[in-house]
Amino acid sequence: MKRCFYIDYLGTEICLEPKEYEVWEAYSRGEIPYSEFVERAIDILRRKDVPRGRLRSTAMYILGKLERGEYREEEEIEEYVRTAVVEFDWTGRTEYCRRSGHDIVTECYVSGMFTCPEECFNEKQNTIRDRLAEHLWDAYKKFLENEYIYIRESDTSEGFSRFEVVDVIETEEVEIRFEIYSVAFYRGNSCGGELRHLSYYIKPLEGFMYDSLMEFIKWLREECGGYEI
Amino acid sequence: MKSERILVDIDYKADSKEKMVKIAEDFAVKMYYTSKILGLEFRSMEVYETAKGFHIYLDAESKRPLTPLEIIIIQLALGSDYKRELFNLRRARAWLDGEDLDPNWNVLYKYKYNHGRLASNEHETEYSRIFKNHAFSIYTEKMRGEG
Repeated sequence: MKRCFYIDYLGTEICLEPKEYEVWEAYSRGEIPYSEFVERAIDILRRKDVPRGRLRSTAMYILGKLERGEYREEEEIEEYVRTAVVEFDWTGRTEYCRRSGHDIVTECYVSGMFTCPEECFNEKQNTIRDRLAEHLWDAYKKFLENEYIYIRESDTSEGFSRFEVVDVIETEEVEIRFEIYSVAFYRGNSCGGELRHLSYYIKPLEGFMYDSLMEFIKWLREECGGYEI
Repeated sequence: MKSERILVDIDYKADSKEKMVKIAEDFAVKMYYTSKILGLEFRSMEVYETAKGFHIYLDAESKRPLTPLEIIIIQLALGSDYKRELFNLRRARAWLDGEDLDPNWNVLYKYKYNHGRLASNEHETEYSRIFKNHAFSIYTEKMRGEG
């Protein structure tokens, strides 16, 4: 709920929130000087789309209205966007065991989250998940190519072991963002050997994943940005 | 008691409900003997059908914490795909050498992709419900000494 002090101005109503209202009240009580009042009031009115040439006169007009008690105070039901918080765990693997001495086995794990309007997510979650999978795989492939360890003929496997809405939050505006919680990379140089955790690969891999998630979020904003309320 | 997660990947399907019930009964027997012999109790079970078979998620309470190797053996004993468990073993080898094991070492893909394209995904079906209901109730009965 948002509280508003409504002042009628040229047939439309301007809503001053309590913090904004305080500026006029403070000046009226003599607690702030005129210069400060004008500066702060103009700043508020500019955000409310009052035309530039009328900012100062509107501030004074509102002052008169407030001092005469010509306003109404009301609680306004604020509209929120229900935003889904989606967490995922993704694994990508490649394995090349066809030429002895040239074996390369790789595995990577990425955990992260993104947010998206709930309505859009419910409607398009398969498309969203498929798109994310595409971006993550693409990033992993680019990373391996960059490190000269991607072999086209490798056996591969990839997928989400988790892709779920963990929370629904209410936001004032559409909020579509992402976060990478963790990235891990393992490599083995022989198909019968063990996979070693290679921490020095994490930074570059994270970089590729970050770029791909940026691309994904860009797409998601186009796909779901219109879902305001 | 320590909580453990056992993930079983079954790579075959039944072509009739009767066969599904039989597979579930066999699975319940395996769960029962695993519990009795290794001192753990399965508390809950989720079953989903996939393109090739079933994914089974079991929550267990164990008298002692299970090592990755024990988890692999239990999964194999319950009929999990041998290849998957061999891959798990390869991951666990580094752990045997003293390395940390990634928390995601023992995974089942809820959504499996192939080069960015969806290949298979888990879903609840009539058969997965038959499997879950039969297997878990038979197991529970056996544990109570009724079976």
